[in-house]
Parts: sequence; structure tokens; C-alpha cells
Amino acid sequence: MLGKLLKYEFWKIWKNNKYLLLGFGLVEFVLLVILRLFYHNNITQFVISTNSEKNIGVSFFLITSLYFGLLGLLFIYPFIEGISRYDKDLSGKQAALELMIPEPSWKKITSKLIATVCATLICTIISAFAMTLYLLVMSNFNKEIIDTIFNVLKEGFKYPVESIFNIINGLFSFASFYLLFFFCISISKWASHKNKIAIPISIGVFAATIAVIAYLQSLADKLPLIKYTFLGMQTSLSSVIVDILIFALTFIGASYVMERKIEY
Amino acid sequence: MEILKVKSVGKKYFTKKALDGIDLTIEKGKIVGILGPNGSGKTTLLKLVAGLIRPSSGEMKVCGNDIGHKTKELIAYLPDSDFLYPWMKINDAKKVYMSFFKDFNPEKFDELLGFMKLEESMAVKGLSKGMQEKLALALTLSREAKLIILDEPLNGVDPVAREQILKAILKGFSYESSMIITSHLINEVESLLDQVYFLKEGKIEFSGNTEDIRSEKKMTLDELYREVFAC
Amino acid sequence: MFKFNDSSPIYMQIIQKIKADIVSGRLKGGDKMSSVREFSESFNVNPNTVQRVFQELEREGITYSQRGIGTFIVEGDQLLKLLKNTQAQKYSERYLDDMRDLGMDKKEILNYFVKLLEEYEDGNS
Repeated sequence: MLGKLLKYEFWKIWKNNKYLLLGFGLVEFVLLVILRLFYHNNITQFVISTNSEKNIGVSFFLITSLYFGLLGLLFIYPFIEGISRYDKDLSGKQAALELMIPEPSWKKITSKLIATVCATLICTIISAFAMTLYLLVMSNFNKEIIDTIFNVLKEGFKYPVESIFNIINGLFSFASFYLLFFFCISISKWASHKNKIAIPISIGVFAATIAVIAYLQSLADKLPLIKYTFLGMQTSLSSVIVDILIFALTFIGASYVMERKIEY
Repeated sequence: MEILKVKSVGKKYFTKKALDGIDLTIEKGKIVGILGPNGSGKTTLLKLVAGLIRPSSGEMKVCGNDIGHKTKELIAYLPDSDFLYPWMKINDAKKVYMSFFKDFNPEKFDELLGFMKLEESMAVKGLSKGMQEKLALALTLSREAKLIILDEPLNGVDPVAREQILKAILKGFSYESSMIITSHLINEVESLLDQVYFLKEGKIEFSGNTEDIRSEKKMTLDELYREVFAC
Repeated sequence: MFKFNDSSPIYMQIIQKIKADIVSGRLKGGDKMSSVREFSESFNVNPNTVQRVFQELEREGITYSQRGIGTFIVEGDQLLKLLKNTQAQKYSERYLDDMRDLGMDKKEILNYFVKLLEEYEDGNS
């Protein structure tokens, strides 16, 4: 049952990372509080002053960079975590548990993919929220900024179809990206369990796969079949076909390898 | 119906032949021992049956089914003791097993836990090797699977705990299913076994019924083992 | 835990133990035997072996089973007498074989045995 697997994957992600996430939230909260309390003046000066020389103070700069830096990490984290977990699930000590589960591999991969993509989505939303919060708090809930934010959101709701399509497209891109790594990891695990050989093999497979993808995409550029502009984006039928093909092939490849070739 | 049928199975790793021409049949309601020195291929054979490895040649069927994700529902494999995520509690492991294995019996698990003196709130991280072994065993034996595979269940466990484990194994026995056990402690497992297979360098050196061995050869299993593997 | 050090089949060793229990009075006529499963778990023995024990005992007329209720030791002195004889005979033969293996003759064996018995009685009184 896909539902059971999905619940299991989400549960694993949560249990593995809940302290990290809460810690992160706490750190960001503290940073924001510090920024607000001690540097409020700096930023008002920064915004108001018309000097070409804008002096914001080194420590303020550092703390703000830390705040945004951590957000950046949060954005990347689900990716790194998802890939390394997949890697461990196939060959770490817990591989026995993973392989024992009586479900076909394609279901397992699908559930992992969905879980990781959702985790990425959630982290993206949290990052966006944290950034917005920064702007609001630091500008002391300046009306102009609030208005700008609402306008941006309104734009999004004005064109719901486009927004949803962009979101789905974004998710599909994430999924394809992760799937690429799942595929490469599966193949390298098939080739060998020993880490020393496995890593160069994964890199090799990765490079080879990228090469194939680049080739297919250049083919698509040469033979666009139908060129059209969809929702403000230039694209072609071939390019869409290639994207779907790559997704399908990596999915089928990873599932097949996991089902038939992986050994514990 | 035969629970397990292994026909001419072989497993090759690059140059090394781990198993060669293995023929094995297990009827239901039997406890079978697969004995042999380290490296004889016991673990390889068990992993093949459990579907964790694929054979290079030959054919295996569990209750008439080819080995695949369907047979994983029928087979309970005892993994190496630390196969659970360290952040898990015993309760979490129970939930996972309940969720994925239809034949998992939670009451039996609670009973076995009590018998092994473990509690659901304990964290897997904090368990000693012996306790982890007992937990793995409790999880595996609580599955009313058709074939239960125990690879060295007495490994790294003190003598008192070993007796508990042997009792737990018998508690987990059912006439509708069968068990495969491997162990170095031949004296301790002998009384549990109906049949025994001796594996030497990937081949079956000897097989027979344990009581017949005693009545025909007038030896204990340990003595026979020493004779077979003497050189 | 019962040790099966003897190389005779395990089911036979269990039967011998039960017979010994009956002769010594640890098991009395009319007593209910544990179930196959209980037996198997307490002796750490394969249930199929235990089944064989039960079948043999019933075949030899030492036990009888009542469907749905259990297996019982046969009542009456007749069984006790018979078993006493057969078991005593068996054990004595074992002792005799061991002593003859040492090369002792009938007179020596008898002397040793009588001496042992006297020591045993003195020890008890």
C-alpha cells in the first residue's frame, strides 16, 4: 500500500530531523529578536539615508547573513537529507529493514520521492515565510512593505492557473532532480557495496547520465517540433517530451535496479 | 505443501562460488538446521531464500511462489541485531512491523517482550547487543510467517539468555509454518531440530533427520559435525 | 534443563526419564501430562520429537489420551510394577556393562556393589 509507505517515509523524516528543525527555528527566532532589538536603528538609517556610502555595521551584516544563510541551508537540506537517506536505506545497516518490506520497489521509490519533494516544499515555504518575517519585523511593519507583499500575493491569485502550473512544474523539476540521484545511487549500489568503489562509480554514472540528458535536450532544441509560448514561457513539445522521458526512464531504471539487482 | 523448495541453486561473486548445486526441501511444521563452518555459505543461502540476494543459477520457491516481494510477506527473516534506526523506540519498531506485515501478532510480541524482560518505551540506542538480539528475535517470531529464518540467533548472547531464546523460538513455532536455524552452538540447538543440512564450501555435504542420525550412527549431532568437518 | 548427552535418540531419552519419574513416584498414575507445547518449551525440545514421545508412551500403554482433555498416566499398580522391573533391569545392565568393560569378574562386581550399598545405607542412617 502506497499510503502506508508514504506515512512511513514522512514519519522517518520527521523523527530523524525534528530536533534539527526545532533547533533551527529557535536559532532563527533568536537571531531575529537580536536583529530587531539591537539593530533596528541601523536599518532605518540604511533605508532613509541618501548617502552613497551606506554604513550598516559589520556585526549587523554578519548576523543578517547568518539569518539568510541558515535559510539557504534549510532550502538545500531536504535534498541532501533525502539523497543520503536513500543511500543508507539501500546499503547501510538499515538496508535489511528496507529490503524486507514486502512492497514492490516502484512504490517504495514513489513514496520516498513524494516525501522528499513535500519536505522540500515545506522547507521552501518556511524559508519564504522567514524571509517575509524578516522584512516585516525589521521594517517595523512598514505599511509600504506590507502592501508590496500583498500585491505580490494578489498577482499570484489573479492568475491561479499559471501559479498552480508553475508550482507543479517546480515540483516536477525537484522530483526529476531527486530521481536522477536515486537512479545513480541505485546503479552504483548494484555495482558494488564497498564504499570505496561505490563513490567513483556513482560519480561516473552521474556524469554519464547528465551527458545523456544534455544530449537529449540538445536534440530537442534542434527538433523543436512545435514551438509555443505557454503562460509566458518559451517552450517546445520536444522539450516537454524529453523532460517526461527522462523522468520516466530514471524512475523505471531506479525501480528495476532496486527490485532485481540490489543485494543486502 | 512444501514451504520451501530449493533446486540446484548457485551463487557466484565474481570469482568466488559461494554456493553450488544446492538442493533442499522443507515441509511444513519442521525446524531445520543449516550447519557449517564460517564461510561455508549458510548466510548466503538464507539471504537467498529471504530474497535479499539473488541466485546466479537454479530456482527457489516458497509455498509455490517465486522469490519476490510477495514471498517477503511469507518469510520472516531475522536480521543482524542493529537493523533498526537508532532513534527508534521498541514501540516504534512494533508499529513498523504492524504496519507492513499482515501476519504480525502484537499480543504475541507483548508476550515475548515480557518474557525477554524488555519494555516498549526503551530506546533502541540504549540496548546492549544481547538485548538488541532479543528484540530482533521478538519482532521476527511475532510474525506468524510461513517460513521463519533465524541466522545465528544465539550469537553474542550469554548462556542464560540463550536458553530464553531457545524457549522463545519454540514459543514461536507452529505446525503451519517452518523454521530454518543456523548456529555454531550445535549442542544447544540440536534438540530443536527435525532435520539438518551440513554445508561445506558452498555444497551440501550431508543431510538427514536428527533422530535418525542418533539411532543409525549412534552419535550426537555435535560428534557428527566434528566427523564431517574434521579435515 | 535436561541434557541430552547420551547419543541415543532424544525421544528415547525423554521416555526413559518419564519412566524413571513414574517408578520413583514423581509421576503418579492418573497424573495429567503437560501438553506437547508446554513439554517442548520446558525441555527445549522440538515439538515433533515430543509428539513421538507421546505416541510411544501411548503405544507402550504407559499413557492414554482423552480427546480435548489431555494425556494421562495410566493408573494402577500393574504399570508401576512392570516399569520398575524393566527400568531396574535396564539400569543394572548398564552398570554391569560398564564394570565388565573394566575387566572385572562376577565376584569383584558383586563385592564392589555390596560395599557401595552398605556405605550408602550408613550414610543415610
